[in-house]
Amino acid sequence: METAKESAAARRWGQRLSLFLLSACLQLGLLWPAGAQNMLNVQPVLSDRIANYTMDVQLDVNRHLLHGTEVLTWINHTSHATQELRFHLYYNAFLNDHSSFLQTSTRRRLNLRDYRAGDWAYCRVEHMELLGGDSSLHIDLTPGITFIQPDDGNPDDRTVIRVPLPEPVAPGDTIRVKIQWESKIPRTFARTGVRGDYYFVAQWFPKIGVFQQDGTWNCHQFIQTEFFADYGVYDVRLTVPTGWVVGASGKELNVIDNGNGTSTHRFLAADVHDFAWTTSPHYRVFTATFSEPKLPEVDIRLLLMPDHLDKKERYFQATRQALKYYGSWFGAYPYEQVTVVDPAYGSGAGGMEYPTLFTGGTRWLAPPETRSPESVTIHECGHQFWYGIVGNNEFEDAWLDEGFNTYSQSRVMDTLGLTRIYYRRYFHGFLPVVFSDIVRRFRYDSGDSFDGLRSPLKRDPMSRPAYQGHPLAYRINAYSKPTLILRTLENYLGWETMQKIMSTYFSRWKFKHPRPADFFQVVNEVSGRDMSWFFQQTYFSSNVFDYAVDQVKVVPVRPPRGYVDKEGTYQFSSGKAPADTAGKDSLLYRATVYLARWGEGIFPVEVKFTFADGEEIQETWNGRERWIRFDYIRPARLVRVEVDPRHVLVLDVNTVNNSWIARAPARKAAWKWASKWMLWLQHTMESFVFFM
Amino acid sequence: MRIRNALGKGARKVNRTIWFVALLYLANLGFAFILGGILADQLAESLGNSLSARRMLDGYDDYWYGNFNTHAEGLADTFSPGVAGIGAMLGAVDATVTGRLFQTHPAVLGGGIFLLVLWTFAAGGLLACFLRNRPVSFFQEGARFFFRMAVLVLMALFTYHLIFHYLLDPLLNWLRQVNRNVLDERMDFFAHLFIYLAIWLLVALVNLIFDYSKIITVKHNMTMAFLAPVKAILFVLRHPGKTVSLYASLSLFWLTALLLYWLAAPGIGQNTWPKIWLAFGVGQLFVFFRIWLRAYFWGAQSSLYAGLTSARVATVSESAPSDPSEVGA
Repeated sequence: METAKESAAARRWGQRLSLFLLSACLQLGLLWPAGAQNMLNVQPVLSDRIANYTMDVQLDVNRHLLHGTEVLTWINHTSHATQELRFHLYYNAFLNDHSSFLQTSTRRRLNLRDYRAGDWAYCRVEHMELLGGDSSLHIDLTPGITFIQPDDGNPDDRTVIRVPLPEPVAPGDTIRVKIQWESKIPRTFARTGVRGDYYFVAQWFPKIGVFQQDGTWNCHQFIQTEFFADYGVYDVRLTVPTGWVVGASGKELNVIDNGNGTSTHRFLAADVHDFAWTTSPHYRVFTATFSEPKLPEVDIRLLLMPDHLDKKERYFQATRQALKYYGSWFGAYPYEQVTVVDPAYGSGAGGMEYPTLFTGGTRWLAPPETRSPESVTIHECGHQFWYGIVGNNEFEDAWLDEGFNTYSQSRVMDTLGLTRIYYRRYFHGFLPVVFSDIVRRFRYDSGDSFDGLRSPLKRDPMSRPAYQGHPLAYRINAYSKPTLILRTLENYLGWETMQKIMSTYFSRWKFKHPRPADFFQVVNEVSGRDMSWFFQQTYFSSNVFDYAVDQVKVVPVRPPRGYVDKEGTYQFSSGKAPADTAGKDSLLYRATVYLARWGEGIFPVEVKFTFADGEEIQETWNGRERWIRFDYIRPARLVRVEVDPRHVLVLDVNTVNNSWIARAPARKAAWKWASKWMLWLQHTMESFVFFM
Repeated sequence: MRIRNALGKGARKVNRTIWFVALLYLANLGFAFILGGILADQLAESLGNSLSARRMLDGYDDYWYGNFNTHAEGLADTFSPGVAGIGAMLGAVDATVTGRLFQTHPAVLGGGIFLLVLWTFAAGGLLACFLRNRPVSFFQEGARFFFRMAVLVLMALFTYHLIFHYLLDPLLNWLRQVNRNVLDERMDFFAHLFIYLAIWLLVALVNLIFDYSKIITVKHNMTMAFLAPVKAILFVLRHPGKTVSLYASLSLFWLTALLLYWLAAPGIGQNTWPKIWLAFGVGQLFVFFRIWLRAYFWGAQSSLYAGLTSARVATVSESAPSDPSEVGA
């Protein structure tokens, strides 16, 4: 007994010593092999580097398998000790259709019948051990691994594991964990997977969760949101068939031909919180440099599929514009390289961001008016800033990157004059036809965000953590509503202030994990105003804003009908204007206007009244009451009323009722469009005749 | 008989019955006006006294459309800015080509069936006018052949259903499986194109056969109309070059007209009543041409049929012995 105790104590002491040495080595940057070390030496340390991975991965293209060994070097950066680790095994979301990911209502619509036996996925930890200073101190952690479901309790969900540790990791301590694992790559789910010999591999390895300052693990199941992780250094060796192009997060250090038909590509990515990669023999590789005064140069590496070769310059140009405007508005892109991946047709990997790498997406036929690939490229490149550099928790505050980025993207698109032109795709979507005279406006997202804003908006306030949100409200609360909130804020405070807010927030929170309150604080601080009233309504509640012109009445002012005081006596007045004044310029008009607040949200709005003689009156309504009345007596008729004419409150869910005009040509406009619809109807009906 | 002659004669025949063609056009227009009026009311109500009314008159207002579309139900749900310009035509062509035509809104489906019934009636009348060498009553002949034409239309619809449901759909499913690993969109596009070309060659052949079935039914006053397709197939097999060439020529007219309309189709810039109705008028010219062309198919094909069958009769009578005595006892 005594001996065993002593032995255990010695082992614990040995572990502590080795942890101390390890921590010191990490801080001194001694753990990385020579090539990586050289590169790390010349790069400034930008983040806390809490979760660091050294990985060796082989891709089996015949069975779509990844065999990996990773050594995780993890620092407990909190003031709490932990006696367990938690890992994400994201690929298990595609293990079977009982996973929480595939049980959500939106995913039930996926046509899973198209998924064959070999199309499903898994991530299996084969062995996990705690590494000490020497091999005798290695402790097998594998038996203690258990699947947990902290979010929904679904026992069939295997996307999170808990690993008990023999000893707590004290604050400031560093541990090393070696994990051997196997991942079966799915046919694409959630933008990761394989199609033919095209691989886009993301969320693919056992990845440690985030141990938070309050001493709890933030390691959510993979259900409906995106991701969250600590920053670190990824030193990854990827072995793939020789001749295949590989693109990955970070920079490629070298390629070694193994002489057996495979080659090993080594990538190093520092100060990032994820690592994704892609490989295929079909990629064509192009490079360009982003160069802009006052901003650091960035190498752009573009991996392009053969059917999109004509989109090369459009990809480069959009990436440059994103780096330029985001860089000058918010803060510079700090990495040396960005890899732009043009996903293969049908791969389902398009439009996703990963650190220093993102996927665009376009079609073989995509005229410039379709803004493809420009729109998605600017958006995903923009995520390098909002997600990559400012690393918010996407499980809980998805809007802090998606909303921020959609807002920023819309500004870039506006600045570049990339208006949205209406187009439709015919013949199974292959053939686009652009309706160049139909300009779409006010859509800050690529989808139907503005339409969608109305109905699902009230399901959840944005303050509800994204992973708990209603599936139909996720997109609204992550993308559309925050975009409109930020745009409203910009309109209210002015771009100059807004730009300062965004750049302050960026510089303060880069390589950190901000929460919404951190942003609100920056807004108040930079603007010099307490904007809590605004965020209380927009972030903490699901109220909607809807100001409207309710009633307008314009009548000529006539003498009173009834008794009037004439020379001290009441005399009857018929109420008719004297004959000689009828239709004359001296006639006055009374305009009575009722404005209404149909929504619960309160926001001060401007109101503009325009009279037939060109006179304009601007009023301000604090918007608090349910309605307000304005009366004017003017020599000309009121011809137009506009609530919020400068469109400050873009959160207003119905802008059609914001205006009133005299003699509105509604019928004419209606028949103009109905006549066009009639043509469609006539042709559709006539098409039936063909089949006789 | 030459194709050119058939085309010329066919055009003359159709032009002689232009009033009946106009009647068919008016039926189409009338139905469209009824539904168009309903939609116009809905649009006008939605636009109300807002600035959007002005914007939609001068061009297009995406704010308004977003609002309208969110609440659109029923017929209003079929409205989109994609009906402007060539979109009105392409939407219908796309639905036809891909076999989704019958999956449209019930009111539109009702209109289509209404026109189908009307044309079933008109087929007998028009073909009788085209095929008889004496004046005939369009309406009497239409009524006389209505049920026989209806049998043929039902047979045709059934055949098309077989093609689209039991051939196209499985082929597309098969293609999806075969192409599940295709990484180049061009390959998928051309594979789809090839399948559609093959399907539409078959559809055109069926269309051709049922055109001649109608012609044969009227020409020979066949009471057993359901047997007419057999005769039509035999006729087409006897004259494959001429029947197919004629059909291809007529189809080419259609494609040429479609391309011309694509160039001429008015956009959304009309903001006065004259301009609105002028744009509508340009569209109507094309609708009318389309209806005329449908009749023209039958006119030219009936001319070809008459020409080829009379030539055969003449050939048979020339080669037949005029005097029974020449035939040996």
